[in-house]
Amino acid sequence: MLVRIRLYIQVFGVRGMLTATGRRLRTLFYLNQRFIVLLKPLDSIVESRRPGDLRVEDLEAKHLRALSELNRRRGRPQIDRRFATNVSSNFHGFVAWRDGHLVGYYWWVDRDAPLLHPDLRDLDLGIELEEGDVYGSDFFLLEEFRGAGTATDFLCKIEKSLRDRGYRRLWGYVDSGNRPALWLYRARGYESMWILERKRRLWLWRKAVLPYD
Amino acid sequence: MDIGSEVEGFIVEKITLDGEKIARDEDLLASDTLDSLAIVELVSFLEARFGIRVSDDDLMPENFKTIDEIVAFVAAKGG
Repeated sequence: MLVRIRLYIQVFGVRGMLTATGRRLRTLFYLNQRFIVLLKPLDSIVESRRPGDLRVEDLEAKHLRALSELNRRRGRPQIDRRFATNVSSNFHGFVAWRDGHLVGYYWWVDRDAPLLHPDLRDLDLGIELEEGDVYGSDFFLLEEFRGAGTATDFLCKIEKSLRDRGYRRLWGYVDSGNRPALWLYRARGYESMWILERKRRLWLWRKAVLPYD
Repeated sequence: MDIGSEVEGFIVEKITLDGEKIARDEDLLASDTLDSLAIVELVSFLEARFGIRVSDDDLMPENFKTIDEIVAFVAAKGG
């Protein structure tokens, strides 16, 4: 715990650490979440106009060490354990490299995954994977490598790789307040399917699935 | 200065940074001019400059695809 706090202070400063702690404590009792469930038909992939120099490859157990370094760089070493669990659960993924550094990742499962993906299990997104479907999650690119179409390039390479494996539809979700991600997905032709609203008041959760107009 | 000129000026100065003029009907998505970070900058500019509120639901490609469409969007929002 102390190591995590020290690392967080190194990355975000004392104020950042206190803000994050306050926010975390608040979410234990009060939380409003609005997730937009997305669907991308993989037969209509628009090429990135600025194909960058990202090298994208399948995520394997050998990448866990580099992923751990990346998680430390972003001040979130606690994710290491989830990544190790994902790999041991035979979840799939991609990693993005630039200049010899791992700068991003993405996870995905299909309906043959031996375990239900935690998002599908815990968030109750209402997604039922069918033959030819994939669920993608945790699209991440280090902050200093964002911009200049890099995220678009990474996502485009992911979509093409999934399409080339025979998948036809890519499901996912985005927090409606995450504007860069929301724009990235919409600009790449992801359809908004429905909205999942989750509210927490003390220990009570309320959930509503709303149509997307 | 009209809305279109201000929007074009912002994009040229803050996003593309190359000083090249942008046609009012140029597809800003196809050219990857408006990537995920640029859209946030542009929306902040529109909200501050024209006093409009851009909701998450407004963040649709059809509202930001070209400068002409951005102008129409700002006008529809009362900016």
